[in-house]
Amino acid sequence: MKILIADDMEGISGVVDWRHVGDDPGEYARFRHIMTGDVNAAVRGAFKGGADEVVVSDGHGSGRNVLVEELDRRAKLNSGSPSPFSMVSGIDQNVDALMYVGYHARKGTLHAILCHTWTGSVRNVFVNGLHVGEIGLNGLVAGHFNVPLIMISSDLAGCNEALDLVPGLETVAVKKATGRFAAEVLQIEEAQARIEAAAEKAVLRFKNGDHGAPLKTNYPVKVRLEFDSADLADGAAQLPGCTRVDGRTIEFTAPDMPSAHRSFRAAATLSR
Amino acid sequence: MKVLIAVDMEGISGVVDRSHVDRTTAEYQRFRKLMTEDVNAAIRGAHKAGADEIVVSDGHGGARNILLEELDPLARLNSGSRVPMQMLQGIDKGVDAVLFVGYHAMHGTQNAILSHTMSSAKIGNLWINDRVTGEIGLNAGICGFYNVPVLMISSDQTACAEAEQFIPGIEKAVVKIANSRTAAELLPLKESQALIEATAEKAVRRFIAGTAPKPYVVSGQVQVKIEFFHAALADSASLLPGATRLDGRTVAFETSNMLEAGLTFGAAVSVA
Repeated sequence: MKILIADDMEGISGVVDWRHVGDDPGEYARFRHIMTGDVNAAVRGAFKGGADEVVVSDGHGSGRNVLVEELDRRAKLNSGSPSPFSMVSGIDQNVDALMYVGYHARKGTLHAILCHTWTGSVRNVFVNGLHVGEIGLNGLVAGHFNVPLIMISSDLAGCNEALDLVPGLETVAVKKATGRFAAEVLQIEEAQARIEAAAEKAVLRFKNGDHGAPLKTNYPVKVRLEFDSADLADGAAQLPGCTRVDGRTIEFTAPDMPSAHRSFRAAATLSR
Repeated sequence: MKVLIAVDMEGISGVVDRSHVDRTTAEYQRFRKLMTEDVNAAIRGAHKAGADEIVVSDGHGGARNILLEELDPLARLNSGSRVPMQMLQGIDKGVDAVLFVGYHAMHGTQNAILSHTMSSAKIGNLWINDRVTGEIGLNAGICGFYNVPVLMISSDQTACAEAEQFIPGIEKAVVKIANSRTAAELLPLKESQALIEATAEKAVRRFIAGTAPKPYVVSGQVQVKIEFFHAALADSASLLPGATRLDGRTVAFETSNMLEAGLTFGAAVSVA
């Protein structure tokens, strides 16, 4: 059994501020180490649960955060950017199940640490009318390959967002946010023990067929993309074939979810 | 009669170096004034010949170069970037003819001041239906989509010769003789501006008399093939819908017409 662990940084244990995830070099160095620790906890749990192969895809920023020198030696690492499936790099390589470590809620969520959707410029994303953030977007790409999401670690809001999409999912809330930059955080050791236990349980449940269905949407896929302001949509509107809906909004149609994901990423880049 | 004057900066009188066209330098302040004067010369010429409506579109960088306070009051100005028609903003608004002022040769051309194709950091070559094309051919092709002819160009001798290849019989104001990519023999400014004025006047007179060059029309489906400087740029451009990766550095798009081709190329440059 092959498990893909897709990581991000905002939902890592202890993280509450942009300084922790890149803006301050010293703080970022601390949290890359903790991030690698959270990922290692999930790797250990996955192997304990019975995984034969674990691949980690580093999904934060340019995908160069996880410290390969501290990573569990049994795991392979997808690092760097851009890659064909971005945050779920490797999802097309016969993966059986997907886990999220360090994910975060979509932009605008109440009490969610560093909530955003892909870039600072995106306000809302709707896939065939479904309001999604990165949890949903990447999960739908995994669904294209029939890969179910079986576990998430995040703050409480990120876990709840994932549960709305995949009821019964294994979740680890490593912090409970009281604002976008404030949370009651678990101690690192406690958080990582819970991640390990949840990953183990998720894999055991997967083996027993006790897991949610892969996330799916109808094809073709209609994506509605709202930006924070009109100049950002002016830039995104360069996306070939898109329609400008209003000042802040574009729409486009893609034949399938990986294509929709690529166009979304291109539009987010063009908006800046 | 409505004339659109599409302006770039590298082919402006006196410009030989990147510092002259880079808005972060002190030199740039000198050259934006000279740019405005070259444009004013073209406005005077077009007006003398009978153009009763003149629109200037600033096409360099963020399109905030021309000094409005020094611009001939006969003309209106399109300023600012992220506009649908890019360097030809306004071309879709009932324009009869276009003049290119301060244009430059395509990337890789010998003896051509600051030769490049849209981005001197990204683009090695652009092919439109297998024809190597720079900004002159690309923008002339977009004008052609609207059945609008390009009547004149001001630039160095090499860019003027490039324009002749795409638009036989185009009027040319050679304001400098390039000896390399960053060195040229310059006409005295007064002479240079008098030449631009006389050329614009002659070009518009020919149009009125029915002896101007025909629009450069690329009909039917248009293939856009882009060779980037390196593979990472092509990796990013491949996110765009309809992209086909031909090799490490090269991406192609099949588009339905020349306007779509031009806009797709613009998007690919931005997203790369």
